[in-house]
Amino acid sequence: MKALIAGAGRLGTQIAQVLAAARNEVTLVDVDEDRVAALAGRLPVRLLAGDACDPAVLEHAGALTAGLLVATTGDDEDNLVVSLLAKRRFAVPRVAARVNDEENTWLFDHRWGVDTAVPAATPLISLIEEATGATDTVALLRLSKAGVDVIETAITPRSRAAGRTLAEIALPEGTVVATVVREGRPTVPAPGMRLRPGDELLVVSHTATEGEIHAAFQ
Amino acid sequence: MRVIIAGCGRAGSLLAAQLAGEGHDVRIVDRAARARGLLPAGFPGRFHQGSGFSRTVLEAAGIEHADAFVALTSGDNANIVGARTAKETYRVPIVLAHVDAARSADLCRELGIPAIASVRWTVREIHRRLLHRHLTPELAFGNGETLLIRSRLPGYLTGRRLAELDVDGEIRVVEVTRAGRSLVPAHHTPAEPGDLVTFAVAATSLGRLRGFLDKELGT
Repeated sequence: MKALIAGAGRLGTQIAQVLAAARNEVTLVDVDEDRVAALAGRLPVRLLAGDACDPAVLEHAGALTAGLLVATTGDDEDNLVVSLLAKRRFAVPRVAARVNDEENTWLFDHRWGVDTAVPAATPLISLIEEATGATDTVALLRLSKAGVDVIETAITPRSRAAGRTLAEIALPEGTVVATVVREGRPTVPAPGMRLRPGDELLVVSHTATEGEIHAAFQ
Repeated sequence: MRVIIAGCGRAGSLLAAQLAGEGHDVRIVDRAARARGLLPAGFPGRFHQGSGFSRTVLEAAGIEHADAFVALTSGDNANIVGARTAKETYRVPIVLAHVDAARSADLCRELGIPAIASVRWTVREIHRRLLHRHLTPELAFGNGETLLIRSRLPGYLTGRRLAELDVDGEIRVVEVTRAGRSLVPAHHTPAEPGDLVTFAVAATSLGRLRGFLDKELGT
């Protein structure tokens, strides 16, 4: 599937990483040229500098054939306008938008082309942080319509995966480690990366169940 | 009337002061508390700090009983979201939005929000003054897409039917003042010396109209 992400902030880059790891064709658009330049080569996605509120930029980014658009900028009015354009002008089947200010939540619905509102309090990274208390695997977020599950698992000193490299871990079919959050920072995992207690993994899978992921790491 | 203005910048504060001076009930909203400093001392209206599309702020400003809402913040998207909320959620009878970008003006048209598109307007106005400075519009409609222009007819057109000056979709003769009396010309009315003619013309066809009117000068 083609996915288009507007806004290359923390949430935008994380979602881009997860979707790219699940073998989606991802385009990440940000108005800040410096930010786009800084991300070049660090993400397995197509990067584009431009204002996603401009229909010409959206079209260039592939909105006509995108299956999913996620508006993740830091301004609610921008996310609303991007969503509206995605839905009205480009008929993007699924549109998700981040709500920065909780008070604006009521605006994020079909009137502005939004199918899924993503509250600021629960972006991916916050969910991981919240889930840290539980050592068990937690089904974090189901991008069920995309046919992909994102499962978070935390490495503890007792985990089987602690001290091993990613390459040494046998993963179920169709499963990818999207990102390893170490000391609060998401990193692009290389096969040689050695897992340590305290690491939090975002695992993306088309087929594996939570139990299978749990078995592989814990 | 009760007017709510979102955005207390140069335009917002000036409009607020003018309307309040005329005795209107003005409520002005801005995200920054210090924006209040742009209002004149003794401004009789109310200032509310917050976003121009926040329900809490708009309701505190009395949007449920407002006669008009004007979106004048520096952000096109904030103005679009605010104006659409005022129009569709609160059913404010008069809603106006200021936008910069031409694409924002297009989106406003799509959403049925009357917009003042400053970049488009400025460019058109400067273009007209640069290239068509002798054709001063009596009136401009919309954002200047259609203009009403009066001009004395050049002598070479005397005896020609005024309807011949019409160009479909571009130029139309709407009125003639002849010897101090105004008339709406019939299809066959011929031009007479000294006719003062009013044209409705598309801004993009000003060059063509000038071509008709200046012909004599060139020959």
